[in-house]
Amino acid sequence: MGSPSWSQLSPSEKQVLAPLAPDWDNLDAQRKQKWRGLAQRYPKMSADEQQRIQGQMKSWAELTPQQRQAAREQYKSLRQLPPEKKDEVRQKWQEYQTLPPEQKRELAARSAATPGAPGAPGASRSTAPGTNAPPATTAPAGSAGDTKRSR
Amino acid sequence: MIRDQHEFAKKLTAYLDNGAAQLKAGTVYRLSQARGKALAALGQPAWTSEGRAAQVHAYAGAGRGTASPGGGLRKGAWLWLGVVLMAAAGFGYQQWQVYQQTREIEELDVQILSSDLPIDAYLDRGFQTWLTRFQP
Repeated sequence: MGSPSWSQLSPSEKQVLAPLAPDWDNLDAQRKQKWRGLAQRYPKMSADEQQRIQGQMKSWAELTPQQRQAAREQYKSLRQLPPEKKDEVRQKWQEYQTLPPEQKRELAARSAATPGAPGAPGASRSTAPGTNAPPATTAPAGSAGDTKRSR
Repeated sequence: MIRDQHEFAKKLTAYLDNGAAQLKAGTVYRLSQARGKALAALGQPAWTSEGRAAQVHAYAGAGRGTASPGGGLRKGAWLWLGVVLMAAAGFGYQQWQVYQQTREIEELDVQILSSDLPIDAYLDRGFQTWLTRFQP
């Protein structure tokens, strides 16, 4: 499989992975392999799925390994919910967006203070622009406790 | 000269044969025994009066190998082959597990990226706390 450079990808792969073009050569072989696997599945997805993937691909690639792992864990827990609960989650997210930044910070701080709260240390992100959530308790050295990108 | 010697040997042999034929049976037997003892003392097989060798030369294990030199090598080769096969099987299983884990993560990432919720929803601790408020 190896670690192909961007120029070595097929045209279809380049089209799917276009958001990753600037950073492709900096990715390790394992991540390149995963993205190429995604590119192979891409044609079989619906148009909505393809659009969502294209919109989030770059953000996902910019996450730290800890953040990606935390996202996977949270997704797995939400995936187990019944369909009606999943709809509620989407509604709650919309409601959460309307909360004032202070309340969001308070909720985030409460999550960090609660033992066994969902989310891995060092993996929190704040969606409120210009704000940085307090660093997590025991983040491993080198990991980004705050978001790497700002909206 | 040589011819005279042959003549003489021929005549002498005939005389001795004639004399031996006139010997009594007991005398012949005693002469045979004495001859056998003399030859045994010299380490040579003695012939009985019937003309068969009395001494048996036994060869213990002659031509019979307890273990052929090639048997040990074959046994060792099979043992090493088994070890190599087991090591290969263990390595193959480990690689298969890594492959399975990679495929599982890949599948998960695709689902996350294509889900209705943005990535931030899975990372925002405040939102996770917000959700717990509404869980029974």
